[in-house]
Amino acid sequence: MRRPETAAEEQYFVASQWQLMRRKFRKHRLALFGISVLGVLYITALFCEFFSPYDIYERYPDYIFAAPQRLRFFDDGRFQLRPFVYGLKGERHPETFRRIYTEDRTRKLPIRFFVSGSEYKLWTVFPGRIHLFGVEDGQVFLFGTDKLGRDLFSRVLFASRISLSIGLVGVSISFVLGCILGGISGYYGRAFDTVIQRVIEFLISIPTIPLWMALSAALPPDWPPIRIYFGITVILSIIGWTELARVVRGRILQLREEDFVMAAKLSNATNLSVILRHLLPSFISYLIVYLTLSIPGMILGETALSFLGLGIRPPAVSWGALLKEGQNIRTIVQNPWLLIPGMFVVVAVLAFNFLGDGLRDAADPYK
Amino acid sequence: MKRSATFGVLVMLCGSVLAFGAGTTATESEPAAEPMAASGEFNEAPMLAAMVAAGDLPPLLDRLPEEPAVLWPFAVDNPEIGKYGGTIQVFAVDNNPWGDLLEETERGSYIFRTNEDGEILPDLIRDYEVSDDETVFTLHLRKGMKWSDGAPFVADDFVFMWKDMALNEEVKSWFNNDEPLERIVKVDDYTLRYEFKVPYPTFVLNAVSWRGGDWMRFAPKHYLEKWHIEYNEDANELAKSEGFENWWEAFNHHWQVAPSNDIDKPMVQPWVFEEFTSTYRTFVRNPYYYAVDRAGNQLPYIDRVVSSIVDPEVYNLKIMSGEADLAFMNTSFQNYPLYKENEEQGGYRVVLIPGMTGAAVAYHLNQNHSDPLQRELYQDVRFRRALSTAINRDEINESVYFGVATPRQATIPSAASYYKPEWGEDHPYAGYDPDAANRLLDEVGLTERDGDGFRKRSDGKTVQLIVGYSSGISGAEETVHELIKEYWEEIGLKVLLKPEEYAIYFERVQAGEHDVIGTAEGFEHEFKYFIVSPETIRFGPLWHQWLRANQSVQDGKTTLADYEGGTLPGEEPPQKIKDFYDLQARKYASTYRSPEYMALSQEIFDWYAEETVLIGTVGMVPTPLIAADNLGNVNVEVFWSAAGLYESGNYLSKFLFFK
Repeated sequence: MRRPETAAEEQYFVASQWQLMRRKFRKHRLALFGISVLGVLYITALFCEFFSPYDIYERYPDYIFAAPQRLRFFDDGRFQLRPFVYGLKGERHPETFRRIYTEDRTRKLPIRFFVSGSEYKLWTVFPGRIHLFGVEDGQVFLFGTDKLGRDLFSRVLFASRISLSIGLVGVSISFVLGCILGGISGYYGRAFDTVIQRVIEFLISIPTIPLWMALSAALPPDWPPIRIYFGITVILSIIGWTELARVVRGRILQLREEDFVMAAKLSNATNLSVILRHLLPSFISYLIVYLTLSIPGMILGETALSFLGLGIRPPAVSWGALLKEGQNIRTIVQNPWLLIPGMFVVVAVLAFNFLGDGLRDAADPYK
Repeated sequence: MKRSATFGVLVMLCGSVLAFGAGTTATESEPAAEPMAASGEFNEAPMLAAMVAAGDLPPLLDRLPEEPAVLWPFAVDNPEIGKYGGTIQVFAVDNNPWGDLLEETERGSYIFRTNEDGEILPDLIRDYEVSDDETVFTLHLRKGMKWSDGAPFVADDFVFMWKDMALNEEVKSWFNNDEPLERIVKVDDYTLRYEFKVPYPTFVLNAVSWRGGDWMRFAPKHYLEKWHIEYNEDANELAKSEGFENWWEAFNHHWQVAPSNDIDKPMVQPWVFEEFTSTYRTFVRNPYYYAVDRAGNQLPYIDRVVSSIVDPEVYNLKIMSGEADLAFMNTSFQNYPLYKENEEQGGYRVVLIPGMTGAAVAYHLNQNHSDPLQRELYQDVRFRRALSTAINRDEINESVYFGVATPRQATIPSAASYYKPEWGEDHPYAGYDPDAANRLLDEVGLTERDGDGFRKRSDGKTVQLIVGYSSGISGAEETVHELIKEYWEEIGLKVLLKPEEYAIYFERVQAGEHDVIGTAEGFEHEFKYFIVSPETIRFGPLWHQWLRANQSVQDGKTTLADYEGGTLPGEEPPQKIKDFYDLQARKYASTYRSPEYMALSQEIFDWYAEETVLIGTVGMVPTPLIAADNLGNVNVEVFWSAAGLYESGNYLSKFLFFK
C-alpha cells in the first residue's frame, strides 16, 4: 500500500515548474540580496532627478575638487536626529595652486528633506523642483565635487540611469536573435543550418576595432553622444548574437533526438511549441548565466569604448565616463573620491551575478 | 602619403610648443661678435682624456674645428661653468624623438641659433653672408669640424642632401620643398652657396630650427654613399644582401632620422647613440662635438643620456619619485599641484616656464560649411563676435588653469615686440557679456526660438554647432569644451561635443568637413603664419586649397591641367581672404625684423582681431619643468627661438651638469 503523501510533499508534486522556481529562488539569500540592491539602484536611477540634490551640470566654481562632506549627528557632543554638514571654506594654496578646503564650524547646515531646489523635468516631461534632500544657504556634496565643482553624488545617480539601461537593450537584442536563429539552425538543420552557420562565420571574422571606427565615422555627426552610443550598442548586438546562437544550436541538436521531444511531436505539438515549451526550458539555466554575465559585460565594456571616443563622452555621464575622469595619478593621490562611481560598477556587477546565480539554481528546481 | 602624414604631425607637434618673444631688431648679415675662449686652450671630459691616453681617440685639438663654436647658456637660473661627468635619466612616453632631451640627441644641432635678444647667429657654421638682393646665402663651414666618426664635415654633405636625396624621386628626405631654391653650389670644401630664385630672407629663419638640422640640410655622404646607386654600382646587390628589395629602401633605412634605424650613422649632435631598444635608448657624448664653453671646455658636460619609454601616467610617477632628472616635454600643467607637493620628497624643483602659446584652446568656425545657411552664419562677423563675448574667460582661467593663465582673444603672445593689447587681453569681444552676445545674435536674425529655447535658422531648423576635437587631447582642453557648450547654450545656440579619434579628426578637418573645431592655437611659430598652412586656414579649408593651388600655378610648379577638370581645387575665396593671404605672402618675403616685417605682422594681427575668425579662451598657460636639485644650468624661461621651450630646453641641454 502506498504511504499517503504529506501535505508538504503533495504541494511539491502538484506545484507547477514556475511555482517551484519561485520557491527555490526565495531560499537563495545572495540572490535576494542581489535583487534588492538592483531594485534600489533601478529606483534611484528611474527617479534620479528627485533623489539627487542638484542638476548634473550645476557648477559651483568656489568648490572645485571639494572632498566629500561628512554627515554629522553630533553637534558639540550633543546627539541630534537631524543630520547636518558644516559649510566649506576654500582657498588656493599660494605655492601648489591646489584648492584647500576647511570646515567652517560656525556654519551648520542641517539636511532638510523634500526641499525645493533647482527645477527639473522628470523624464523630460513632468516639471518639478522637489528634491529628496538638500540644505539651505549652502551646498551639500555627499560624494564631493569634480573638476568644475559639480556634485558627484548627483552625477553618479544620473549616470546610473544610462549605465543600467542602454546596455540592457543591446543584450536583449543579442539574446532574442541568438535564441531564434540558433534555434532554427539546430531544429530544422539542412539548408537553414548551412546558411545561418555561414553567416555566423562571416560575422565572427569581422575585426571589431576597425568596425567601431567605421561606425563612429558613419553615424550622423549631429547625433548627441548618448544616441551614438545607443546606435553602436544596437549595431554591435546585431552582429554580437553569434556566440549564443552557436550554443543554442548545439544544445538543440543534442536534445531534439530525445524521447520527450519525440513524444511531443507525436502528440501533434507545433514546431514552435516544441522549441519554446520543451527544448528551451531544458537549458534555460545556461541562458540565464549568459544573460546575467553579459549585462555586467556591457557595463564594463562601455568604459572601454570611451577610449576610442565611441562610448559615453562628456558632457553626458555614465559610470564609465565618470571613472574616466579618475584615470590618472592625480586623482588617486589628490582626489580619490572621484573613484566612487567605480564602487557602483562593482556593486551592480556583483548584484547581477548573485541574481544570476540564484536564478540558475532556481531554473533547475528538480535537482 | 605616409611621409606627408608624418610630416604633418611633426609640423603640428612643433607648432604646439613654439615660442615667439620680444627682442631688439638686428640685421642678419652682421652677426654679433662672439666672446672668445679666454686662453685659446681647450679642455675635455675625463672620460675622453682616458680614451686619448689609451690611444683610442685622437687628441682634443685634432677633434675640434680650428675655430670651435663658443657658447654660453642663457635663459637659465644661474649660468655657470659645469663639471664633467654623470648620466642623466630622462623619460619619454612614446617611441618618437620628441621626448625630453631626445631632440638634442637625435636632431638638435642646427645651422643657426639665436641669442637671448632674438638675434640669429651661426651655430654649426662659422659665418655666413647674404647678397644685397637676398637671393644668395654663402655659408662658411668650420674648418676641421668632424662627424662623430671623425670624418670631416664638409660642403659635400650639404650638396649630397639636395642633389642626391631631395632631387632623387626614390629617396626619402624631408628637404624643405617650399623654399624657392635654385641650387646649392659647393665653392670649396668649407664654403657653399644657397641660391634662390627670388629674394628669400626667410632662409635664416627656417634654418634656425629643426629645419636647419640633419633632417633637411645635410647628411653624412661618406657613410651613406655606399647605399646610393650614384656612388656605388653594386648598391642593389648590397641592399639585397641586407634583406631589402632595392637600393633606395636600404638607403632610406640607413638615413632615416627621428626615430633613427641605424645607430652607427655619424651625427653632429652633442650625444650620439650608444644603445637602442624598444624600451630605452642610451646616448654617449660625441667626442667630436664642435662647441666649447667660454672657458674652452668641450661640451656637453654630461657623459651619458638614458631615455626610457614609459606610459604617460608612469611618467608622472617617475617625476614624483625623483627618478627623472629632467622633464618638461610631457608634463601637464594640470598636474602642477601634484609635482609641487612632492618636490621635497622627490628631490627636485618645479619651475613654471612662462606660457608662450597664444591660445590654449581656440575655436575655428568652418566658413566653407557645406550647409549654405550654416555657412552664412559662420561668415557673419557678428555671429563670431557673439560667440566670443559669450565666453566667461575668467571662469575658465579660475576653474581649469588655477587662475595662472591669461584670459584673452586668440592671437600672438604678448611677448611679441609688435604686440597690441587690443588683439588679446583688451579685445573688444574678449569680455564676458551674454547680453551683448544675445543682441548680436538677434541682429544676425536668429530671433525665433524652438521649444527648448534654442534659436532657429530661417529654414526653421535649430542652430546647432558641432564642436569637434581630437579625443587624444589632455583633460584640460576637454573641460574647456564642456564649459564652452554651456556658455553658448546660454545664448540659445545648441552645441554638440564630438571627440574623434585623431586620424579621423585630422582627415575631416583637412577635407573641410568639420563644423566647429576646438584646438590649441599657438600663434607662436612665425613660419606657420608665413606659409599659410592648412592649420592656419581651418576657418576656410576650401579657400585654402584654392589659394595653395593658385600659388603653385603662379610659381610654375603645376599647371591647370594637373588638376581634376582643369580647374583649381577648392573654392575661390572672396577678395578679403585673398588680400589676407597676400598679406602673409608679403610678410614671408620681407626681411626678418625689418620695419616692413613689423608693419605687415601688425596688419595681419589687426585683421585677426577685426575678423575674430578664431575665438580664443585663455592663453599663455605656463609649462612645469622638473629638474633634479643637483642639476645645474637649468632652463627657467623660454628664449626667442623658432621653437620655444621645445627647442630652448634642448638647446640648453649641452650645458646641463651635475653639481
